[in-house]
Amino acid sequence: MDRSGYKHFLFPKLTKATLLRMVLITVGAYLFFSRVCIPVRVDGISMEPTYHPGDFTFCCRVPYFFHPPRVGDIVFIRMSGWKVMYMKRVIALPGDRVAFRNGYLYVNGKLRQEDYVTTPSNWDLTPRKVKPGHVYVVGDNRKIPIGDQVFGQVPISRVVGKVLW
Amino acid sequence: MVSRRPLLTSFLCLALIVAAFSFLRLTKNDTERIKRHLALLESMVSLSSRNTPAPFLQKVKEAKLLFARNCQVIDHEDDFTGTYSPQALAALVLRFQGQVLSAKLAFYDVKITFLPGKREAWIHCTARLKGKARSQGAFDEFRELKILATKEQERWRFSRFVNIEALEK
Repeated sequence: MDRSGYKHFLFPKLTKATLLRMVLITVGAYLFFSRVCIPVRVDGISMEPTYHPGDFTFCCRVPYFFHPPRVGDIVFIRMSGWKVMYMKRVIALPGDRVAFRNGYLYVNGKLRQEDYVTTPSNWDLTPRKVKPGHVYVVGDNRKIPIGDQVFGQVPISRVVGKVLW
Repeated sequence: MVSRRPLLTSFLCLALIVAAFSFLRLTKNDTERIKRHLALLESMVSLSSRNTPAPFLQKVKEAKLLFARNCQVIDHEDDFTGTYSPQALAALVLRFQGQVLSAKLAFYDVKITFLPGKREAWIHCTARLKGKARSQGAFDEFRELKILATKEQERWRFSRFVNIEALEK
């Protein structure tokens, strides 16, 4: 592109078509980043070592337009809105029985290998069944005492989306 | 003879516009008042590291403006469930401020729904309390809350706090 080409690209003449393009791009970008792919800054240590405070990612809603959350997905759970959300990993689906023994996760009585958990833990939780229409979510950081970690079953309707990366 | 039809139509349109405008204005005013009230609650609980907690009497004065005479708290996680007077709530806030070096309360995703009659409103929000405790270091807590605001003598006051359990262990 020559010099005048760049100039024309960066500072186009304000014609009707240019204005329409600008409006469409602005509205499209706003809708995309507020409804479809929401930028998120991680705050808190409950997903360490997978995500650290200050990390940046996107909450992508597209996958859950087609299928419900799956085991292993890292999801965002809304509270009263989308400005502040929990970031957790899905470990069990509706009807599953979840338990922790000596820090190990058991789903339906079987030990589940969790490669993403790198710190030793002493979590103990009696078996409980995941209600229909719910998923069971936990943070990856099991170093946090079980009483201080926010986790549990949550209605699928509260799951906003999953991490993009 | 002049037809009355266009006159009536324009009058109806004008009346509709005025009604809609007044409705919006009234709603907005109350919404703004409730939001201002939430901001007051934020500043009542928050404590900057440079400041010391305010004297008890000042806190009671603030609490009387913010909370109803009998403010109900329903909390599934902590043992705070009960009915509190503004004095009791002021004492709770002061006790909390005595245990921290700094604290900041902030409300996010605030949605206000007025009940019929416009004398009561439900506030659905996420509260974040972040700061530094004297003993255990930093803390950063979130709670999803439903707060009932009641209009008493033309002033909004918080009369019920319900802690919503988003995740059930």
